[in-house]
Amino acid sequence: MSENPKPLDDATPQEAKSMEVLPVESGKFTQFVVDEPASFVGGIAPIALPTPPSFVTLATVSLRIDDMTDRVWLNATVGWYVDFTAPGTVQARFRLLRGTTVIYETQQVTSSTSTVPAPPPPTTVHSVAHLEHIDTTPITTPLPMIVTYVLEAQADVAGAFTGGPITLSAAEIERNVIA
Amino acid sequence: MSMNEEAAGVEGVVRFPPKRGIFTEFQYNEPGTTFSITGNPVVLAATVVLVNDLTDRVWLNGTVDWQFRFSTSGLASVLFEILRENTVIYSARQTIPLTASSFPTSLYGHVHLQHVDTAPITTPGVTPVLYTLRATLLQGVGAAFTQNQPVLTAAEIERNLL
Repeated sequence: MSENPKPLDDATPQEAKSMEVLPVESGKFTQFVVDEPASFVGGIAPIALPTPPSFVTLATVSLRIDDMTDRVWLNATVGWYVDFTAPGTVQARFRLLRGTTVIYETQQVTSSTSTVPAPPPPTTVHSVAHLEHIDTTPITTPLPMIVTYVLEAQADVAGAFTGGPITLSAAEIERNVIA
Repeated sequence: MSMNEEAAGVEGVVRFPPKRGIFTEFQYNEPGTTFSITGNPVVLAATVVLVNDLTDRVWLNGTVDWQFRFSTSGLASVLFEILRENTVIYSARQTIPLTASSFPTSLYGHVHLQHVDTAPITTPGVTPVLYTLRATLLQGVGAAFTQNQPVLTAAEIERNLL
């Protein structure tokens, strides 16, 4: 549909009918926030990913949400690594929270091959995790609220770190005009 | 209409400005080419965004599938970078550890990059800004190639109204 539809007077009956039914399209992407504590590999001093039950907070964003029909599109990317001194696997867990409620969680595994001896210096294996989630219920009452989203991480064993990059973005998306 | 005018409602009652879409431009590059990734940086995708406001942000997303054909045991590690013109503004590194014992063998990686450029221009006015996604092989004995099509997207996003 065009942003500037033909005036109704100039339209054929068929076009007029469709214009009556379909409202003019408008932007739905109404707010965007980001927390990017590190933009580069090694951009920050290494942060250890703690072992369960602990998590470390890597990034936080807040938006002002005013409609119960708003959606929040969350995207996070984390570069992380393990310095292996022996063959093995390490599994990292990343999660997104709305306030203190976990709304998304994912895991990523990394390994050092058993065919490679582990000479000093250790074998460093780098990984990049990507998280994507749509929060369809950012608020549950019709009052405007500041909603905070948090990116957290942990690893099943000690030895995993992030030194960047770390990016957490959140976009407020209005309801679709046509469901 | 200025933000202040929008904020001043009827009879002088201050209310919040009407919501408006702030995602105002979208560019992408998805070349249908296989690239060899070597020790010298190779450009995988590039796109130009027309930025006009100092308060604009550019939301960059890149995705690369790649494979490494190991000719011996070891690791393959690639540095992915996003540049604004000639300045590196983002980097991420991915390693493929060898898990096989026969050679040659190919293993695959998939990486997603995300960066928000909060200072795409430093002087006001409509300015074409070039963003580039490139890759460099840092470690590995063998050959690295892209798989499928690398993608770089760039979205111009206006400042938030509040």
